[in-house]
Amino acid sequence: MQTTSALLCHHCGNEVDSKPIFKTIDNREEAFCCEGCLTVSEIIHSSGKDLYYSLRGSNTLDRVNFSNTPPENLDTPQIYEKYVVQKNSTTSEVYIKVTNIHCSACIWLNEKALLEIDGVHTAVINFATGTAMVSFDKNKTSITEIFNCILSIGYKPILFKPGEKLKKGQNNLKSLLLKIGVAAFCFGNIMLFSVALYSGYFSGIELSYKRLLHYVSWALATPAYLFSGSPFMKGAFSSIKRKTLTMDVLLFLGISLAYLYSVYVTISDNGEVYFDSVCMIYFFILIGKYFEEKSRVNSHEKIDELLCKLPEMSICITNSLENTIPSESIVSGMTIKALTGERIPVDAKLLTDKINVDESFLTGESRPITRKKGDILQAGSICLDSSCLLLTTSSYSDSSLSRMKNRIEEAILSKPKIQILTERIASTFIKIVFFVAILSFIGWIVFTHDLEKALVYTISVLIVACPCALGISVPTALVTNHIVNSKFGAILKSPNAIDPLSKLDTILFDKTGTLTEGKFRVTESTIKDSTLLSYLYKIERESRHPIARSILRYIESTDPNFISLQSDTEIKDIQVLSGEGILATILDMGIEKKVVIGTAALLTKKGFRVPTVNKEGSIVYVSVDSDFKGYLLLSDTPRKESLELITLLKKIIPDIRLISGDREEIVQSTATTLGISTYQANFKPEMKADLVTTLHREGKVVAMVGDGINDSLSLAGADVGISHSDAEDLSIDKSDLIIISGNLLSIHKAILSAKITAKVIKQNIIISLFYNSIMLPLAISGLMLPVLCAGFMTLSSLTVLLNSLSIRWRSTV
Amino acid sequence: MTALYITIPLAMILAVFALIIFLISMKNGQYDDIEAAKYRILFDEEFPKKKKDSNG
Repeated sequence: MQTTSALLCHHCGNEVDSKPIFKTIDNREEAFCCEGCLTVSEIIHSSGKDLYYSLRGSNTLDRVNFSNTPPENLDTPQIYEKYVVQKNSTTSEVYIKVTNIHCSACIWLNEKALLEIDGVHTAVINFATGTAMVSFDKNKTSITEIFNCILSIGYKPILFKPGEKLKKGQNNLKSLLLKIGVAAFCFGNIMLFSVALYSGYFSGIELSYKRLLHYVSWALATPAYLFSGSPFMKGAFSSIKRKTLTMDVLLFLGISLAYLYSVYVTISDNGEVYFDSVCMIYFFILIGKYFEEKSRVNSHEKIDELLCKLPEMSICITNSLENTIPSESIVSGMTIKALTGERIPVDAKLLTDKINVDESFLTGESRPITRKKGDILQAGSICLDSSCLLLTTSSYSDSSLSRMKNRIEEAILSKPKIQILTERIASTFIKIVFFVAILSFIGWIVFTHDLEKALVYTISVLIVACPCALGISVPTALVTNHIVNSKFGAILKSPNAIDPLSKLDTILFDKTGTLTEGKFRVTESTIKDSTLLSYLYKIERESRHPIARSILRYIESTDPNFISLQSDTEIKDIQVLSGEGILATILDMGIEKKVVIGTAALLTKKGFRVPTVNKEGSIVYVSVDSDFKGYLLLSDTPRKESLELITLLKKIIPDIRLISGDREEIVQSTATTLGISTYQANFKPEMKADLVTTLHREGKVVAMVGDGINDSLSLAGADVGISHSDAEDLSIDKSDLIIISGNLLSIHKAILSAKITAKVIKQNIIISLFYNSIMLPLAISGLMLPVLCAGFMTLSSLTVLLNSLSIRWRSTV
Repeated sequence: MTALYITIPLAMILAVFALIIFLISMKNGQYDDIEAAKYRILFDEEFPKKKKDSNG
């Protein structure tokens, strides 16, 4: 038999750290960490879905945590109208986001469970997003039944409606993939004929075969040019209309020239064709464009999901009658009732005396906040301990959350990113090339009086000057950087961020949840007596407050065998005072004991003399009957790797700062532990964003590392926003760099690889311009040998490609 | 070498056939969720045959 501490829960795979529950399944005794996991496991077993556990492998899940509130009634006409697409009389479709999907086994389980509902035709869950597309018969089943089914196996469903921008982005992605496919097809096949043409050039080839190969190449290059290249064609024309010269113009012009010249060659049987370059360049560039679009689509999806988390229906009170109305129809000045555990749909003033709310959705602060009568609660906060009455102060579409959503959408579009180097080069380069081409045209006309010759030479100047290598220099480097980053668990969402990331000179860190764990742990305790601990354990078990849970965890960790000690105690009476603590009466072997657990204020009120503890964090005091017993100190501890990260960053970044909304002492002590010399405390979200703007104006390149919606404004404003994947969804969208491994050290690695990538991009540009500058004089003087031209074109692209690939091994050194 | 006049067009026809298959699979939504394929292969034995909805 294993020891208690190494026992793993049969369902969720986490270590069982409280009393395990044993249950015999298939003649084997399995341990479970909690009732929730047991229930779910029984459902899974009884319906014959045990394969789930073998699919899950060694992955761990979140402990099952059933919410005790029944799901709201979802079967109203409004909801059906908003979310359900009626395909025909027996088929309706709805999108449901299953929020806590971890692995393939979760998907298998959900799909299988859904398919067992009578009336569900298909249920397909997207692996990347966790969105289920359920097609069902409205007459046989209902959304509520589907929701209950997902809830019963321990997952949390949300109705999801893709917004306009998301739909458009998804269509874009699909059409880009199609274009990549076509370009790849053309490129792959055209190379077969190009190789024949190349070798034919050296060993000699009959004109008739050469002509055949030219025509075949033409046929293959045309779909790539017209179809795959259409985004660039559009981009080029629109930028010409706006009278600006972008990379699109340069690329489209160069490729068009190569294509049209090749067509001319094919028809006139005179010279060499460049059809293969057309396909190759479009293929490589489209891949880069695809990744760019994909990250944009992900952002929109997260933003849409945000508003879907609000309750669909709200209880509105008019003339002391409770009516259920759709949340969307709430306007300012209504009285609404918010239930326990539910999010508040709009901004509202609290009418109930006192309530604890969880505002982590907006602020990233995991500690519950006590709000008093008259306080304004923001949309998206969760009522924790009881239901409350609220006077709305905004309409649904005008709440702070909706407005934040709009502002963030704007920020994505108008983010003042430092432009990629090639864009700048492109516009000057293109002017020079045009100038040279016109000069050489005039020159040849004047000296030879031969219009055809002058035209052919001029076109060859333009083709030779066409920086095809320049075109792929950036995308290939970016893709390689992407691969390198993904190895250590970082995702660079916006390729524009490479430039600022490599030049970074200021980095701002949020404290809570970023450099620290963001969870409160018991770091100090003056209570050692195990009887007392067992009282505490019993009482704190009754509370859902995060501090209570931390205390439970702490007690469990102090003594694994401790559970057996709490045999004879029994809670007789318990009273939870929100924001203050717990009063309880305990029966220990028949003797009544009054226990007070709570803040200094609560104990003082009860007549105890409480010693002042001058330490940062939350302090929980404990007394039994008339004796003061001691206190527990809970504080937020820095992450394991924070110190190493700061030490490493100090070598490459001159200015590292810690900014936080916390009190001065707390911020100072964290800053000292981590060796950060500059820190700022009491910073509100807007102040963080302002600081970023100020630093920006001073000409600094600023990175912001943070999590939580409170940081999203400053993340969007900074040159580089960095967040980690366990941060609030919204802040991830605003970031350019996401650390998905959870290891902060990836930030350091990502900066290093960005530095190398920026260097490689510059080298690529120099290489391609170098090739062009050799070729240009040759072309102008009419000495452009076709073989030289073809050779150099391929060679320049190949050098650039190899240089980009070198990022892989250069960054591991 | 005159065979090239027949083999190349033939090869092209075959290639276009492959392209058409790609376009059809794209249209059927096989590329909507690229992640899924490698996991779903493990599900198949236990999974009931999908009833593909004619309108879905």
